[in-house]
Amino acid sequence: MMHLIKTDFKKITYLSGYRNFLIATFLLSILFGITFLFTIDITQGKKLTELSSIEVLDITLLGIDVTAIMLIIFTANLISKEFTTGAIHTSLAITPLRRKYFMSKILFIAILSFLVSITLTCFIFAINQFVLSIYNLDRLPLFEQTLFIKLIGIIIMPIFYSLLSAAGAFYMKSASGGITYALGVMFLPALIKMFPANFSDVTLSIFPEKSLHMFSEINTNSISSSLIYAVLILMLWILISCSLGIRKFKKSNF
Amino acid sequence: MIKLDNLTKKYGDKTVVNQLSLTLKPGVVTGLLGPNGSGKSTTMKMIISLVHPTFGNVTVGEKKYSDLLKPTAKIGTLIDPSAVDNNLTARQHLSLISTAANINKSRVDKMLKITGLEMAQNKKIKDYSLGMKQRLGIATALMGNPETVILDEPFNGLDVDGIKWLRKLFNQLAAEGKAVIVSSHLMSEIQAVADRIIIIGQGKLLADMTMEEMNKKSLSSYIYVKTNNIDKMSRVLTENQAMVQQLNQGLEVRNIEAREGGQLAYDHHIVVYELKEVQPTLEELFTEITYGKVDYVSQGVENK
Repeated sequence: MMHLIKTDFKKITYLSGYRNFLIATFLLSILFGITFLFTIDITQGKKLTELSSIEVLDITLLGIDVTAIMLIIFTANLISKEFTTGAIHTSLAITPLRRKYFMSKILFIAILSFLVSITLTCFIFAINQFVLSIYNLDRLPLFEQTLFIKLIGIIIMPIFYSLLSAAGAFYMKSASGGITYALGVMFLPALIKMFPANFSDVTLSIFPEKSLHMFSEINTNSISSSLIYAVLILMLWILISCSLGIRKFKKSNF
Repeated sequence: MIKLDNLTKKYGDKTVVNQLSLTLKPGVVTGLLGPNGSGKSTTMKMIISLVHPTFGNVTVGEKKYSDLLKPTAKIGTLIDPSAVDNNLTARQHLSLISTAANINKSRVDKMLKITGLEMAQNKKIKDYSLGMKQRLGIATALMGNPETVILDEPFNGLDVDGIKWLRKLFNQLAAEGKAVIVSSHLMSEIQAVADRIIIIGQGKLLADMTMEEMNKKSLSSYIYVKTNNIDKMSRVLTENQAMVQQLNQGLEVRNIEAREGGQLAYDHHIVVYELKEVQPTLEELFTEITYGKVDYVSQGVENK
């Protein structure tokens, strides 16, 4: 398994297309984070100095949403390329145990998106701290528990959606399948919110968006119960998606 | 040793491979022949678990390919030379294979050398000709130094030098005790390299024998005899259960061996000018065996 994960990392270093896409992910995420930060007066109708430090951070961290979308596209392309080029023939000749092959891809995506996500979150957090100090606002204490959990939630989001994209790409054997599935899960709550509250409240509770937001809206008193619920919902989405993906992949003829 | 037992693959109503049972032995170059759509590639794919059989099974030394601990050491395959990431170079492609399969890095250089791709190793695969891609595919198949090499249409796109090189390579691999399974529609190439021929038509096994056996059994082989008295010779041969037909100045005789024909001529005081065994080409044999077993038949060309 480790050899297969290592191979995928090696492939990224070899192929400039993947490298450039990841560089673009970094640049766009930071650029969007900064843009959101300095357009607060337009988007929120308030000046930056009128916001609390944590509100400023929330706005800057919107750049991670860009990271999630970019990683969804990256993952779907990386996996679907195996099918479209026919390279899956060689890959499965080397690793005929399809569960092992599938799991190696899922682990690789999890590791890669974790590395990208944690690096960008740290970077954006550092920019945020810098901006806060420029505007003479209180800088955020890094080791404060709720902030720490919020940052973990932010790091988890791109990983979560990348894994959905991977499962979708395996299921549909296409990039568009992976992207549509992950973006669908990401944006469907916005559509559901248009329905009456008695329907939307119940439906939204099973969507991952609410669980991901739980990390950022958490308070110290409800940490354990909310976190367990959020983690459970996210795990279920990943497990069900991966189960469907691997089931279809195992049955496929190439 | 690879064993195919009652192997069957159906796609909906269409049976692509039909109850195929074979044993592929080491040290032999086996030619897999068949018309388009006869099930050659599907059979090869079923051996390496790319396609799941509907019935029957394939075992590689008593195990399923997917259960092998180090599959690349057992079977090396070339199914489609274009099925690679074209943005990689040959060196990068082989290096990825060596990492994924945990094969010693020195094999990369060795394979580039063996396949003659040393000079083009840093060129992107998208700039390769089909022949170069075939060479890279063969390098990929040989990376794990496998006991069995399975190559689907490896002669496609190769130039004369490439074909000569490939023939030599097959003989060398067989001499090393490896099983080599080659499919091709270029029957002359199979004739030049194979020790054993397997012919598949409409997914069924039509023939499985050595080249020698095939030549002997074929209706296309005959003896040609030219004598001073064709009528007498024809009568004598017919009386001895031979099938005789006039061909040019002589006779085309089937169902009798050359030695027996010579003896009959001698016994009946017939002067023989010429007596020879005529062996059919593999192409003729192929046509004879697969007659009526093709899925696609061209209907000639459109008249303008």
